[in-house]
Amino acid sequence: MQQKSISGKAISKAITTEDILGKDVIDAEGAFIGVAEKVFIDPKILDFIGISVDKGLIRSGLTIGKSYIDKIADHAIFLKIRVVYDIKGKLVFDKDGKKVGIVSSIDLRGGKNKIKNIYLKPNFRLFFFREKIVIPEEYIANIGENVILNVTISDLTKK
Amino acid sequence: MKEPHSILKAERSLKKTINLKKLIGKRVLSKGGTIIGKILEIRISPINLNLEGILVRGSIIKKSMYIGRSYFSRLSDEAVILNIEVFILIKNKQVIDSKGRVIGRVKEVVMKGTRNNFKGVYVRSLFSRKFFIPESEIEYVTKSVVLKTKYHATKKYFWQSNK
Repeated sequence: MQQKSISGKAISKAITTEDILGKDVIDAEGAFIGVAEKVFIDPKILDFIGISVDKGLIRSGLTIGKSYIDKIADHAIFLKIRVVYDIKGKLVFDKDGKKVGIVSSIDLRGGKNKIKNIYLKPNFRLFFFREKIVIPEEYIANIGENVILNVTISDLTKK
Repeated sequence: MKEPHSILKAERSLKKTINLKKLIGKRVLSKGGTIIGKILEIRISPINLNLEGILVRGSIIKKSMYIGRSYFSRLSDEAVILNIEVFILIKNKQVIDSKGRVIGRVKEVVMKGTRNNFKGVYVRSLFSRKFFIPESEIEYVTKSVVLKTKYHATKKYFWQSNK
């Protein structure tokens, strides 16, 4: 039986929460982020504002604003960005390729997907770093499978 | 140790050079920090005596790899950092179509000659036969291989005929 409609708009092309929930979330690099578990709607303007992603039992969840969503496809939700939180646990090498440490935590710029600082657990050979190493965003040359800095370890000890 | 005598014409001084012997066994990193392997050999040209490339150690599973110096971004006492992501290493990465469907994993990479370009990849999933996806149908390759919107995978299951 055909459903009656009083929306005033052609909603046949719209998607529902069922089209979003439970779908895989894939970032701009093709990495699997997690599964969409919630849809957020602004209570005042009743507009869709983002999704919450379940990253599994061990890792804490993630909320992603709608401006970072590229498309909602049949089998997955594609993001426009690479989620900076994924940098956690990556190895960090200096300009010369020497291992500096592992990313233990990060600071973001105002809740956006931009790095302010990364904190490293130093490599055990770098005994002169007693505490966490703080690396500002401008020292990061490249982020891929791991992180490469544009400074050497000796530059970091000077600062 | 006493500083040695230098007999030079227009070459760099000893301090400004790198001891290649120390580089053997050091790591090779890609542009994005992927550990490619460890240096096994450093090769020089017998004609102009320039450094030509490095041989990266392989393993039982992995073939060794010879990388030309034009792909070097930085050479230090600690490592060689490349200016590329090595495409031959996309083997075993997941292949996702534009709808987000996982269509299989890369089983073979068909390279274009010896350069870091590829013609395409052979993909296979659990019940499918190996099928070829040309490079022109690939949107980007990073953590996974993501296909272009227009591409429709001609996946064939093993019980289907070859025709």
